[in-house]
Amino acid sequence: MKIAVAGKGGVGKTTLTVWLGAYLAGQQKDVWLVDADTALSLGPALGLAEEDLPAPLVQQQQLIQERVGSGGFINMNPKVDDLMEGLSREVRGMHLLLMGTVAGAGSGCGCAPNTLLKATLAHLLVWRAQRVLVDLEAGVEHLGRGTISSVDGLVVVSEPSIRGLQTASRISSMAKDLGLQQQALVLNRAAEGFQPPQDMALPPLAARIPYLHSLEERQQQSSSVLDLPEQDLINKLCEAVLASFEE
Amino acid sequence: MSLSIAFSGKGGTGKTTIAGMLIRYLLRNGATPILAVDADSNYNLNEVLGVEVDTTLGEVRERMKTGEMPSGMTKDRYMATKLEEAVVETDNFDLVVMGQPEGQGCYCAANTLLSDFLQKLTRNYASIVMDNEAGMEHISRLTTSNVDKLLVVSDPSRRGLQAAGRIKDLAHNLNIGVESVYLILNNVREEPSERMQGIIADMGLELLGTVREDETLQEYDLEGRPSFELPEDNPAVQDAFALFQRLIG
Repeated sequence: MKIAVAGKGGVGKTTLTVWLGAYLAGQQKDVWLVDADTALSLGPALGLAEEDLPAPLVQQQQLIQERVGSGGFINMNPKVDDLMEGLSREVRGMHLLLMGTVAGAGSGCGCAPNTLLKATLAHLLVWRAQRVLVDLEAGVEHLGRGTISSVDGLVVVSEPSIRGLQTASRISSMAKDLGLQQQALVLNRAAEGFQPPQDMALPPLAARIPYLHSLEERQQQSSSVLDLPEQDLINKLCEAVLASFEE
Repeated sequence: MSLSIAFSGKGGTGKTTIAGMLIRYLLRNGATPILAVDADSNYNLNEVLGVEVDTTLGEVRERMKTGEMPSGMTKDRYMATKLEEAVVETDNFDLVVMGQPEGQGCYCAANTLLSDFLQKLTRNYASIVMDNEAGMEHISRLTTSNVDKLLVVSDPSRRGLQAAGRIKDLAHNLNIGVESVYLILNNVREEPSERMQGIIADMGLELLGTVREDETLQEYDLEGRPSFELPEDNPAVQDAFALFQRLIG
């Protein structure tokens, strides 16, 4: 199962991605987590220290040169299948891969690093049979149709604020236009009785992220969102989210 | 010379809200005309400012790239017209929204046109306020003009601060001529503890000031009311104005 997680910043995308990953890894599944958000906080949320993070893909200048080329001719379809293990880091039974931001690769034409990035993501999503969870910054439109057709589902996370919900709705309709029909809405920080507005074209509500006092306390001290005392609540949440993508 | 101030930070830390407050501050101080640039692909600066957006520059770029052009007009001319149409004009400020990031394929040609357009456009304003996502992708690839001050917004969480530290490093590696980088701590309930001040100092960040967590602001957000319309005596607005005064006088 390949799932993309999107939504406005700060709504809990990364936290949910890490929980889903840990839940699947706990079932002995081979899980790949891809951080495609430029804030790069998926690693820290897994409890990794800054210096233990794998290098973001866009910073692999030599590799980009070698596989894609630069200036003159570039190979839009680079070979990447042998790169996956080397570029990722194993964290608690999961593979973590950081995309990074194209801007970091230097000014000028961003085609080469962009191409490697997209080819890698496409390879993971299209060819590998593992469970892949992608933490996205924006919507899915930059993935391209071919890649999107291999994504099984899109989780859109939102807070009950109008700005969060409008972003969710925009992401959802863009993804639908690109053929990604399987979608689920997950609400965070919403009061119990809150219902998403009917007129906003949102995906069906799959789950609500429970309020965890321990997490709020933890965030001040540490970046990790794992090993919280409320594990049964988190498991229930993951079950509900994943169930919405099962045939 | 215009003054250009850019915002960045982890998502959800309030950078857009504070960018809105800066626009208001500049208006009040007569640092006009003002151009607001929303360079976050999950754009919502317009919602904070209370204006409607029809077209984003990203949409125009996409059209240019896919080649849907009317006949009898060169691509450049057509794109220039469309880009001009994408500038939202209000009585108080103008707004451009970058919108969607690049899709598949090469965007170099379209980006060159877009970057020329932005360069010409920004010359017309006394103040430019840019709202960016953490990767600052749009600004670094599209503007060659200098960013005078980069304000990195974080909430008082560990992950927010880590992202802020990374943004500071990234800003130095980018070709955007950032003159100075400051940290704004948003949504604080108390002044930063010594421990937090230590973390901030370790990251080499300079704290410009804090903005209090505010209930009225949260209500505005929940209801979708533009926070641009908050009363001026609102504590969060007051905090923001105080730190802008320290920054630009």
